[in-house]
Amino acid sequence: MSMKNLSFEEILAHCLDEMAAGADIEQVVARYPAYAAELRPLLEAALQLRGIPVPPPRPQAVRQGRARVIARSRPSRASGWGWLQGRRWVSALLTAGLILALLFGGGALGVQAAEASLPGDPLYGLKLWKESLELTWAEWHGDPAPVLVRQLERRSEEMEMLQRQGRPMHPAVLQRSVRLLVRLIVLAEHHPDHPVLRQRALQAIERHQAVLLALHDRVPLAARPALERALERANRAREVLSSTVPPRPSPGPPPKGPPRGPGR
Amino acid sequence: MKKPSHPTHPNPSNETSIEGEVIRRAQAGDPEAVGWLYDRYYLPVYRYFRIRLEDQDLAEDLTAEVFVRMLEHLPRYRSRGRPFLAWLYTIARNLLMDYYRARPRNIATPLEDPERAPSVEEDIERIEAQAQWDCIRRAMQKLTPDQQDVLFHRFLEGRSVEETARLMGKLPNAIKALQHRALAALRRRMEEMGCL
Repeated sequence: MSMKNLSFEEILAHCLDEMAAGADIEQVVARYPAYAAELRPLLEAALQLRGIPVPPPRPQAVRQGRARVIARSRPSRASGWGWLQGRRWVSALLTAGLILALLFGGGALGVQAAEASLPGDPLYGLKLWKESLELTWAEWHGDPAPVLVRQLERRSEEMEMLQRQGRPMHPAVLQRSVRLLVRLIVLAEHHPDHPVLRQRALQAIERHQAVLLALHDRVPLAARPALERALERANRAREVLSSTVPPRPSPGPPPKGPPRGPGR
Repeated sequence: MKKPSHPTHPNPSNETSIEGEVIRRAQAGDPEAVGWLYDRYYLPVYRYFRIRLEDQDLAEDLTAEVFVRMLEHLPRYRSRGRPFLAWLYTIARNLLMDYYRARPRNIATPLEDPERAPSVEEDIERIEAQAQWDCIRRAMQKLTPDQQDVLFHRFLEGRSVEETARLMGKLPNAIKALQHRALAALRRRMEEMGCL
């Protein structure tokens, strides 16, 4: 490109791009001697800006902000419980009570029955709800990876079971798969060295992908878009995890503990 | 896989479709999706405030407030081809304007004296870097909001002209002109304030 065709703004933009790619001011300015006096102070100012170390946020503030935002996101889910909104202690007590009831009291009855349910069964919603609680609990403790992998394995088992029983594929199970896969992708991007992701997640995703592929021509038309989305996410998750997993298993010391707190 | 070098430079194809899905879930009030958006965009929003404010607590509080407002307005959010982050920056900019309007004018921002002598325990290099950072931040505060934004995106966040154009809702040529004016204004201010 001829220099005389370029405006000063374009020349400046070129110089800034070159500097961003690693060139120093003198190299860049030498290419435009006619503009050197004008360019140099601007490039110096840009260089100073680039070098500013912005102090990072405090992890505690990040966690507190997250908890505050998450707490605000919940009421919109419980729109039918308007009389409880704003009474956090009541909803906290209710949630804790429900968890305890599910884990201990109701465990022998409804929850166990729900555990064996399949998509389309009346108790399947309860099973998914319990899984959501498990996931939220695990996330609160800082490491949702094992729960995510376990839940994805369950989805694969359910799909295989439905196939064996000759029952139609329910879109709910596919939508759930998509959510789990998206969560795994994000987790893998934030924690490439996570031991569970390195050991089990890729295996679970590959199995899930195989199950989805086997379903491809058998799902009802209504479930086809959900299946396509799940396959797309599974492909993406496999890509991310494949680039995360080291080429050879390390015979060295055991992997370090899982990351805690927000993914940063 | 390496951790993405910058959380605001997503791979456009896959990331956008995943993000669209997460936004839809967040609009339905799904806390997981809201957490995903928070984790993804906390740092760029925080840096937007931190480069403009001396007070770290305030920058952190305003960042959390951006996400609270995000939740309030999310049901009405429509992408219209602009990045989600551009929408968050708009919320951040409005919050910052609210803050500047509400701040009593007679209270000067407390500033560190760049010339003060470091105490025995303090590291001289750190103090000098801090003084330089304070000086540049104060010089930036004298610029117009658009000039501040273009400098922030281009040089502090390291975004390209095209990315900056998308985030600011302008054409690339307008960004080139704006960055020229912004750098010239910043340089003048830095000279006036003795940052150089």
